[in-house]
Amino acid sequence: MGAAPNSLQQAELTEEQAREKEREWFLDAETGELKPDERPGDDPRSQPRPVRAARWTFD
Amino acid sequence: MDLRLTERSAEPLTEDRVWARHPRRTGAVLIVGAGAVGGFVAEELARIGFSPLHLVDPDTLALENIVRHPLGAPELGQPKATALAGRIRRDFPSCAAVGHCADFTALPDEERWSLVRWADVLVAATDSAACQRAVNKAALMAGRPAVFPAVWVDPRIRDAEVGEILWTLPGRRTPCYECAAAFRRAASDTQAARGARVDIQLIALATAQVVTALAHPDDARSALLDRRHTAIYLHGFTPTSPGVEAVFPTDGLSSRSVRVPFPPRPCPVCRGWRYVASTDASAGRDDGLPPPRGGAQPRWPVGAVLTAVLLLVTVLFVVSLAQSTHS
Ligand SMILES: [Zn+2]
Repeated sequence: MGAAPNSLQQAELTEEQAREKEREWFLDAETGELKPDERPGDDPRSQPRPVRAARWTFD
Repeated sequence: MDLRLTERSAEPLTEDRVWARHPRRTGAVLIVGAGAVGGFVAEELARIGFSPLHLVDPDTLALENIVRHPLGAPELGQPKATALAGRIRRDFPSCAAVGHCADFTALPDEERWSLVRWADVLVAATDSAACQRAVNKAALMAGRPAVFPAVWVDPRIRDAEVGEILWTLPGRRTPCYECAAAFRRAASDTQAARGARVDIQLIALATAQVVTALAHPDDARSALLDRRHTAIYLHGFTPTSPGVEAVFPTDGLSSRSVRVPFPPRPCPVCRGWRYVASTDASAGRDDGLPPPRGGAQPRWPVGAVLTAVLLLVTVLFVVSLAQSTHS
């Protein structure tokens, strides 16, 4: 059995996906949204939108 | 460990055989909430070797619980905490599990304090924001690390899709639960979801790894703890829904460590805030955790810098004024 290539998943990503995977996100505790960090050189219009999800714990 | 015999075989449960293929990691853990998340976390911690485990939960097992709980039909109607502790003691005799059928927030102070004080790590896996906050306060007071596993639900599709694990270190070395959950005061959190598209056991397994890393900072797996990213989000194997695909750009199993900034004003619970606590967090190197990746930049309080500049300008002005008067 050969060793699995470490970068297989990375290789399957499109350039855009790979770039988005590298992006840093932070939790905005005031709004409950995950927001992307701004990166130098990014077009603000192409910034991903914040992600809002309600928290719920299973009983 | 006592050489207890299993019911079906006469083979003694000797310590070296139990941990022959899995080096034991141990420590004392308080798990508040023995539901679907907390229940599986407790089981996994017992497998890893943690002992003792104290489980606190006021509820009894209902029929609708059993599809997503380690307990099953034989335990229906029994208190979740004591029934699960009993099951763990039976299945993993090396784990001294103790169940407490109680609401953590309603426990007498002394009892709550004694549960918290002996624990190496606290886990808050309840469906009550008030209880999660109570565990946070207790962890800070006792100076114990804490882990807060949960599930996120897309309010539009009402499906649980993303697992969330927040972890905290005491002493303002990381933002506390309150720093991360200010919005949860608004109580807009979903109370019921239709289904679970994220595997609850996946969240429980990951939570157990975080607990292990916190309890054993010298262990290789503590590398997963990066104080600049104290929230871990998990996505399961199900196709990513449009609501969360920006965070998880690829389909399938993935995790993302997310930064939780200290609040812009001092946190009412841990007193940490953006301009003071972040420098504390990057300066404190006494916890044995790996150094933060990327290097946190200490930030100066804007007000203090402006005051200093103003003071300098005033002094220079007065000095030049004095000099011109002399000449
Ligand atoms: Zn705080």
